[in-house]
Amino acid sequence: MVAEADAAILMIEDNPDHAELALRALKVHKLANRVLVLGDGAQALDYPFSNGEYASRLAGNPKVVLLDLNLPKVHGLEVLRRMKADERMKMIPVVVLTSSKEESDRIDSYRLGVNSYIVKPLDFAQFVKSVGDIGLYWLLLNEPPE
Amino acid sequence: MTPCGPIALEFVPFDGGMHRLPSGGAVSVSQPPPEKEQRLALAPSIIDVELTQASQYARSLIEASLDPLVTISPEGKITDVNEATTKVTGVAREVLIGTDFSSYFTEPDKARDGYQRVFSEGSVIDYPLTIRHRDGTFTHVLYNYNASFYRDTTGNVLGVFAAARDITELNRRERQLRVYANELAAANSELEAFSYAMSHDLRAPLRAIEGFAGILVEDHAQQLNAEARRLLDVITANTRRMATLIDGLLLLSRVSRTGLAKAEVNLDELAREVVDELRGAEPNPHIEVRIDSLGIVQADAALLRQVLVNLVSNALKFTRSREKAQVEIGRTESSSETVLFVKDNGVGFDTSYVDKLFRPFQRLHSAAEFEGAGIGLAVVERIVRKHGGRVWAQGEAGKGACFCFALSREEADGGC
Repeated sequence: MVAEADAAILMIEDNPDHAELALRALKVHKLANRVLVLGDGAQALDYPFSNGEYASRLAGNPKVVLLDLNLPKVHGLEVLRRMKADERMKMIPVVVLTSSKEESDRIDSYRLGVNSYIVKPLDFAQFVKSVGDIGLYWLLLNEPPE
Repeated sequence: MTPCGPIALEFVPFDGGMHRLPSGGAVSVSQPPPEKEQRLALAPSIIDVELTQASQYARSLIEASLDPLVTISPEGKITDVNEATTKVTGVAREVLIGTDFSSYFTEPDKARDGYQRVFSEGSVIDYPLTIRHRDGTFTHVLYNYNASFYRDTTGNVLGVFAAARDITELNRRERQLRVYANELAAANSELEAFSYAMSHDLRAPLRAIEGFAGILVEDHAQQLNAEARRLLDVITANTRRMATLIDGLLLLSRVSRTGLAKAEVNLDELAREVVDELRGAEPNPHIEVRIDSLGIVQADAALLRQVLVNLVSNALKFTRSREKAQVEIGRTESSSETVLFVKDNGVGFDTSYVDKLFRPFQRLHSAAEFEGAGIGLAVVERIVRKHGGRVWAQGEAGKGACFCFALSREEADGGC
């Protein structure tokens, strides 16, 4: 993990085991050193808004936010709502990466303006591939607004 | 005189031209048939008897009513009541007559307003009031002043005829229903929260187990002998099995929770799509699948599709080992039902277990013989039951099975 300003991927994931698996998947593509993992919804909001413990972080936004939904303190959908309601933050692509196959979560996420919704595959090989693809797509292929 | 004879009954005030009953009822017969008029001149005593009988007949009709009936003068005084009125007020008939109608209600002004509106509007229907019994209890009623007013022979309005319908019990049941509805809604949302938690919380540890077992194999392959790898495979296989069970439970609860969106469903098309899709994934390409003419039914297309997917995939799964495997999807009609069936010549089942077939997680075969979570037929059963239909199965071990579901005719095709 790296200096906060350099984080290209902001991963908001409360399950450290899942975070480790995801980092492993990103490592395959040499993207793991550009990831910042935050463990709850409150931190997830502090970081991009430069509040709380991130008040003094350097400017600069991640190229993509990987957002789990079932988060402690502030639910992922609320994090998404507040990010997409903010004029500056709504430009940052947000990918929901969740265990939830619930249709209501999918619909709510898109209604709130999510850029992509991925259900974490159970199969480890597929999981590694999915997370790797997400990293490659948003960091290398996609052109974010400056 | 027959009870249904052509005789016009009319309420008239307590004066000439009418017969007072011993009980004080005020009923008369108007416009008697001409021959009776003649007989009146010839034999008045017989007419008197007939009129008394008519009055008694009318009186018994009024008393037979379980609804409190009242006649009210234009001044708002009670002029007649039936027994039901004395019961609901706890006041004797002699006392009621001559008193203010409005004084027996919790809201006298509203009661007064109600019958006064009859004079201007002709009738008032389902006017809600609460009668106060002498002992302090209340009866909620809907007043119908729809018989409106009665007149004398010259057309003068003599009063209002009012009937009350006791809705206390109805109100109580409505309140009870609301309580049940709230409880049901609470139970449903709890169920939703539960299945949500299942999809998240139960799945998450599985992913970690599977993932770290995978890392162990990837990173430490050299240190693992064949037995160690086999043990890891067992762990992984069971992880997946548990995931399948969780998915099954979620599917079952989702089916129970979602509403029905009924429309015309072209079963021929739907069956062809389902069969094509399942055959695409079917390892045995030689299974013969016949689709009879299925026509149209009224159903929820997505749910009906799920029924066919589950039944047809079962049929494929259990015939796959047959040399000449055959599956048939067909439709039959009875007088009241449309029956759809999926029949196969596969391994069949022991009929003594037939009642276990449609229960969740009940399986008649080991996981090693046939894969599956034991949820498919339970889902079929719930979907069909949601449509107001029924499911059943016929079969014989080693000879094949036939799964049927019936939709009642109205459900199936709108009564055509």
